[in-house]
Amino acid sequence: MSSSSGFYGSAAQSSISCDAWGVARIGNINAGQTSDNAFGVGVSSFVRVGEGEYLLTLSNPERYGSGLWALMYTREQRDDLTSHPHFGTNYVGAVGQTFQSPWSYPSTTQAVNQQYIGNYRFSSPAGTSSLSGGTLEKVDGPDNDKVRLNYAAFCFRGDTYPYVPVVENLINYSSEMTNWTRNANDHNLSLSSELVAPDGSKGYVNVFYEGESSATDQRWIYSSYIPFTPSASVGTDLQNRFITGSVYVKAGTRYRGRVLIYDLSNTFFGITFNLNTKTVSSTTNYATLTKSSIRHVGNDWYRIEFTGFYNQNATTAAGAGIPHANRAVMAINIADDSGNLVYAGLRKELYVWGAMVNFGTFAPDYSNHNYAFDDRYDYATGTTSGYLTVDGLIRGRQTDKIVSVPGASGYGITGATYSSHVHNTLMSRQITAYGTLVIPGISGENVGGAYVEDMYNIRNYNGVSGGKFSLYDIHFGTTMDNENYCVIASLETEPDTFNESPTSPPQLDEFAFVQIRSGLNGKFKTVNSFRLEILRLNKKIIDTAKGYSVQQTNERRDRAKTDRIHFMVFGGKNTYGAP
Amino acid sequence: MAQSSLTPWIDSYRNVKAWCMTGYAKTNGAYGGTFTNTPNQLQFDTINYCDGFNLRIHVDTQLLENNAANTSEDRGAIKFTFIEPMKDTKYKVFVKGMGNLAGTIFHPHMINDPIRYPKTKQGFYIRAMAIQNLSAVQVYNYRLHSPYPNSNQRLMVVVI
Repeated sequence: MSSSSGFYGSAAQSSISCDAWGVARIGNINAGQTSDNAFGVGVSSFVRVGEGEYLLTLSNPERYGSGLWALMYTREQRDDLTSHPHFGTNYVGAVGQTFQSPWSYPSTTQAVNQQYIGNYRFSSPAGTSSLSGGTLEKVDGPDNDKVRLNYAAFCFRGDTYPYVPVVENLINYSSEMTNWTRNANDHNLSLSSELVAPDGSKGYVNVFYEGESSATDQRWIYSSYIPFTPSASVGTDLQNRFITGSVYVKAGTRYRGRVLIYDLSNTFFGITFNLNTKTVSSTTNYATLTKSSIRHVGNDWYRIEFTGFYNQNATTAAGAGIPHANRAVMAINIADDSGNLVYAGLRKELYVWGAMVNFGTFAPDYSNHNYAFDDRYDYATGTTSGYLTVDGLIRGRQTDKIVSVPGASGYGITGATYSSHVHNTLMSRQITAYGTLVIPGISGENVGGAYVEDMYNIRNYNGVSGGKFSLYDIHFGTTMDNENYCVIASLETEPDTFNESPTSPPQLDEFAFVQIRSGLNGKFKTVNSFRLEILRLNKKIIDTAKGYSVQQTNERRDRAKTDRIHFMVFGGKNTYGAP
Repeated sequence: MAQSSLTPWIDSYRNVKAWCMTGYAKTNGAYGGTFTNTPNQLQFDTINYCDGFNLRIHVDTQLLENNAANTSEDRGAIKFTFIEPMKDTKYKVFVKGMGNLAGTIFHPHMINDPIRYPKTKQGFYIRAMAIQNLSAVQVYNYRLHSPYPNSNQRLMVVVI
């Protein structure tokens, strides 16, 4: 047993956070044991729903409204067995694995903030101890609290305001308005490399300028259509639907202008603005403006926000007073010093940044949306399109996020807890340690050849003797306050060459299972350290020979193959923010 | 090329450097196809990008490498690159699979080979295996494909 030196150089990156984390217990129901969640943050429940099937429900469902969140998970084995029959024939075992319901979403059985968990074992054919020809089975845990699931959920959509629905900026190229459309040629936009935007960045301030000595004309730009049509729950009818627009403006040699939500025909609502007087005025046609504001945000930048709705709608092309169905763009004008929208240009300019349009009545913090919607793949149609309308495969719909409130429209599950955590408990979602355990491919019996690299709050490791280079205790830099933490591990490995014939088994031990080996009653998962175990698939399982399907082995090391185990830790602290 | 936005979400305090979620499909079915264990066939067909941040998937490269795999030398991997490269190679890739209720384990991991599959500031490679059962069929399942029709397998990747 040995340890490497120089492990105190942890680079703090503690602001990494997840949305929820926890540790669930998988019991043996045949022995009257239950499965539940042991501890965690942002977790509502963990329940058994069938043999080897469990359902994890996360709190704060508004976070998961897009359906686009990832669940990282690692199995934890809590016994002292030296072999690993858990994965084998005679003992009920488990490999943590998430899976997804084949039922389409939305469903009354799986909500957007839920994830099914499968618990598998390798099973031999009946009447034989050989695993060859065996199958996978979903099974419950082997005994009371011998298998746990460590998990952490990452949701990548906005939850700055935990109490409000998630809102998405519906404008394409919200910062590069050079991609917007101009109504004529006597004005243009360019991106300034020097001007500083309200968020402190450079490179995306749009210089909106008029032509010099140009003819009397109106100078305005407009975005592409706001994409809201594909989702049936959102619908195509804009009538009486609140839309909020917002944009940052700064005076150059021009300081007046107009911002509209507009159907490009004759229906619009919006404001005219004057940055000298810091005022806005309503302007509408066949629409209603319900509120508007202008506020200074610093460095002479002003954010204009306004909300309104169309008064009518139609499914036909526009006529008098009838807006085009499905049409809304943001349009921005420059005006002259008198506020005239139609005037002769003098090559003067106005600065614009950060346009945003969203449904609803409030303007959230600006979120950049500077890409085309067709970057996303649409499983419903099998094409790339502007929307993520995914049935069955990815739960949730991009555009539905705006209504993904707890308990509504199938997003909630009866009996589950949906109480939101207060904002500052996000701290308890911060990462408390991370690192990479490197197991170099060196033959021999010196476990000290391994080391930890690029870590945070990790002091060192101890290779565990007798573990065939498969057991490693990872020590925290600062002792945890408690043992209630989860560890997520993921393998990076040097690939095996598949130099056998295509019909022969490859070196399956490239596909190792990494787990936490916490031992009986969790004695190896303490406030000081936790134990990682790397188990290789034994290719014998596909031969006729007997053998455990998963085992500790030094084969890869002896073949000079290096493994890396990345790990991250959430929880374990009473006070967060520092290790 | 499928790729994600450069746009950090408004909750960018998380400092997750990149992430993405993928789906799998075989060409003979929108959500999967008829499984075959013939090794000379292309075992996976497409990996579809769902959404993400600062990552792109090189589908063409992936297909090429898997075709080359039929020489028995290699079986390919999925190449991911960052839209904005990392400043070094100290990033950590966490990758997990999502299977289905039919009983398939989908087991991915990152591979790192300085010659064929290097982990660089520009990107990395992921290889996966689907375990359907423990007979010979497993041999052919280690590549990226969906052994079950409608299996809806996908990758979840988080980079910190």
